[in-house]
Amino acid sequence: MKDKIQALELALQNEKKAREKAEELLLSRTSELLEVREALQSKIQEHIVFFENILDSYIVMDTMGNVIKMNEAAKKLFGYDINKEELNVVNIIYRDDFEYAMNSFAKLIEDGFFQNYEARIYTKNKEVKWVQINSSLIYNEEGVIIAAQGIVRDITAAKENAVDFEEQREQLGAIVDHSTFGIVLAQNRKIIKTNNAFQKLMQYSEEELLGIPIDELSLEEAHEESRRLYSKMIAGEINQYSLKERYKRKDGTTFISKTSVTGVRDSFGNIKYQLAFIEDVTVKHKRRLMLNTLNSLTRSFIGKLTIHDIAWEIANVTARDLEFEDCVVYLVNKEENILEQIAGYGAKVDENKEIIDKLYIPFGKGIVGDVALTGKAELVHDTSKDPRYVVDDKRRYSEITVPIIIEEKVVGVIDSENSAKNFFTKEHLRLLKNVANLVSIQLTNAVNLERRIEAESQNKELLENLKRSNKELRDFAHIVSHDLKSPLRSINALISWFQEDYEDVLDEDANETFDKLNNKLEQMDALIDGILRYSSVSDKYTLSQQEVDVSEVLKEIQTILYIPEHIKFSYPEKLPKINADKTRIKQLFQNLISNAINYIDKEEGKVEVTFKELKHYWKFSVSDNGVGIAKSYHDKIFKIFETLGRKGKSTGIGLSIVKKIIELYNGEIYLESEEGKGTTFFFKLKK
Amino acid sequence: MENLSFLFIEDDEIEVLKFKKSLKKLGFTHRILEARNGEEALEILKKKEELPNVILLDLNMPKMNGLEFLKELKEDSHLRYIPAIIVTTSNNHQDMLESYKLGIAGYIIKPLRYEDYIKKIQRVVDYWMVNEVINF
Repeated sequence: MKDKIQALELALQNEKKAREKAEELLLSRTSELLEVREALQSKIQEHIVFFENILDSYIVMDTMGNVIKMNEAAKKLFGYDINKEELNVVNIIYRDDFEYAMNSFAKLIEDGFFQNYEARIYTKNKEVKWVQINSSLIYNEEGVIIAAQGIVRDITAAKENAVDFEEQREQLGAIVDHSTFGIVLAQNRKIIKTNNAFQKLMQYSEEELLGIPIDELSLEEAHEESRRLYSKMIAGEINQYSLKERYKRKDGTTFISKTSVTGVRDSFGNIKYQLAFIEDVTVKHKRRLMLNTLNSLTRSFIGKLTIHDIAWEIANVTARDLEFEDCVVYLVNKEENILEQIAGYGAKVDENKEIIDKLYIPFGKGIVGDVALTGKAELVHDTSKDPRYVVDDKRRYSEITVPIIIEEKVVGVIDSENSAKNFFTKEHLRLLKNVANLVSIQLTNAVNLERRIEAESQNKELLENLKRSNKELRDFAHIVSHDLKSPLRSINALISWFQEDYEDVLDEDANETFDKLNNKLEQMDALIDGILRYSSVSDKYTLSQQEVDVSEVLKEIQTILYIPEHIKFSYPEKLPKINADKTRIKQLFQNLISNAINYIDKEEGKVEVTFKELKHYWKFSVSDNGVGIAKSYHDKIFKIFETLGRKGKSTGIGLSIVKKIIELYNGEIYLESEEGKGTTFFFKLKK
Repeated sequence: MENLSFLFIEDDEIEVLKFKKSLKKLGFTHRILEARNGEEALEILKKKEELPNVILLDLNMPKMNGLEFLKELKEDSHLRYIPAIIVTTSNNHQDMLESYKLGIAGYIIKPLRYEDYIKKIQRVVDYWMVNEVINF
């Protein structure tokens, strides 16, 4: 029992710890998420600043069509100002174009964008205008659509007025130079103009970039896709496209970009220029990558209970998702003071999932061995400057090493090396620390689970034992009932026969002795009956749940019990109906009342039952004006075979039966008594 | 009045004596077949030479106890119609329930006093004497 409590307490502590860790982790992840969201918010802001400065109407609407943002041009075009009034695009669609508009909207939701949507709208002063709309969806970090943005072009006007491109170019130049996006203007895919932001991104000067084919600046991998989209634009199928690609800086490093290309057409509709917006999304991309890694690890940990299973998930998922060259997980072997490799990205395993040629590292050796000792994560940017580094097959220049800690003890180490210097970042470190925390939580939970399962099986065994001993007790009672009672009957019969046979010889003294003998037999019989009743109080076979009318019970007791004339028995008229087993309730009252009657020594006796309803209990009392019970006996009397009065009249079982019944109904019993004056038993039964 | 025949199944010698003496004291001349346990009783019954009108039996007996005997008895398409009455010291609820479930004609608890016992036996015998019983 004590062990079990300790085990449960330990489990509780562990659970608490695990929860705290989980909260910590959640907090750090939340802040990460917030950072990403903030970054996104600022990008949107940039978008808006950018679009607010362009000449075309720009609107942002929510998924219900309510316009939540519009630039000055849009206000002028529609005649509405959302700062002053609400505007829902559904309300301004020209009646004949309604179906077309809805279809286009459906396409927008499905594809994420649509282009060259042409339809008529009503302006505020009921003018009908032709507009051309290019639109795309805006998603939040979870990939949920939060809004749609669109550029609305008034083509009614465009038809009438020739656009002065030179003037526009001048205005564009101002925008372009202030944008935080890299902007490139190209003709036949050769650069003719770049903005400051792009030059900074690429580390080239404006002159260096002039005349360079756009494809030369980006990596091969996206070229095919880029060319495919470009030819579609040339063919007039699309006006704009975007793609993800990787740009190569002057120093050879790369960054991931989200590139949007818009075609600028001449008056014949032929593409004259290509305008590209280049956004460095490396940081965003990495953050998302890490978040995804953490998420997919969290998911893959579910249901895995051993460190081996978890270790393989870590090694594979981390290396694959974060583009690490390797990722190894070591387990601490306390007895031999070494670290044993239990998982490794790309490691060969035999049929038992054991690694072939696994690595062993002594405590304290190398960076991994050191981390196992200190319990502190390490980020080494250049291993050639770290004396701890041990060259394995060849030197790898950066290393990240994070301990897995459970209950303040290092149980394992996650380690990755990379051939490039400065490969691992603080973000990587933070991520791996989170992963290690996750493992710790998962394993602690697993240990707790194991403990719980063990405790449960112990409970089950205990229950089985209890069941068995209960059954044994019942069988025992059964045997007692027969084997002890039968001889008593035989003795009684034998005495009778003896008395009959020797009637002539036996004098009065002898007969008196036989009467005493018979009395003792009766006592013994009563005792056996008492034990049987006591043992069957909690016998489930005979226990029923019914509505018991207490007044009815008392009425019945009145007819069963012998109440001498000089004793007045009373109980209140109003008594409750309680949910219990009638026989037990009857036994309860009968024992208390007959006790009360038995111990009355006064000429005018009084036995009284009272009742009071409490919030959760029924409270009764049975009082008498009998001999009373000394304080020192108040506890003792409830114990089996304890009797205070004349031996022979009582068996000492009655009150223990009473107590057992009350316990059966989660109640309690106590008494107040004054020697010579009387006793009151109070008892409560749970409603 | 016609004589009845009882099969008295009981392992305790004194109990057998008690039953016999009681009948004698009450002036009955009914025939008594005796068996020490269920197994013996079944042997007697399966012979079918002489079948009792009423069976009186104890519950706790060696070899085959009362309940086991009752089960066998009730499975026999012929013997199952002989009324069987339990005579026992056990007022155990479970025993009582099981016995009635198997189909008994009565459940008598042996009182402590011999004189009370005689009174009970008298009532039982009187009752079966006013009954029409099957004579096999």
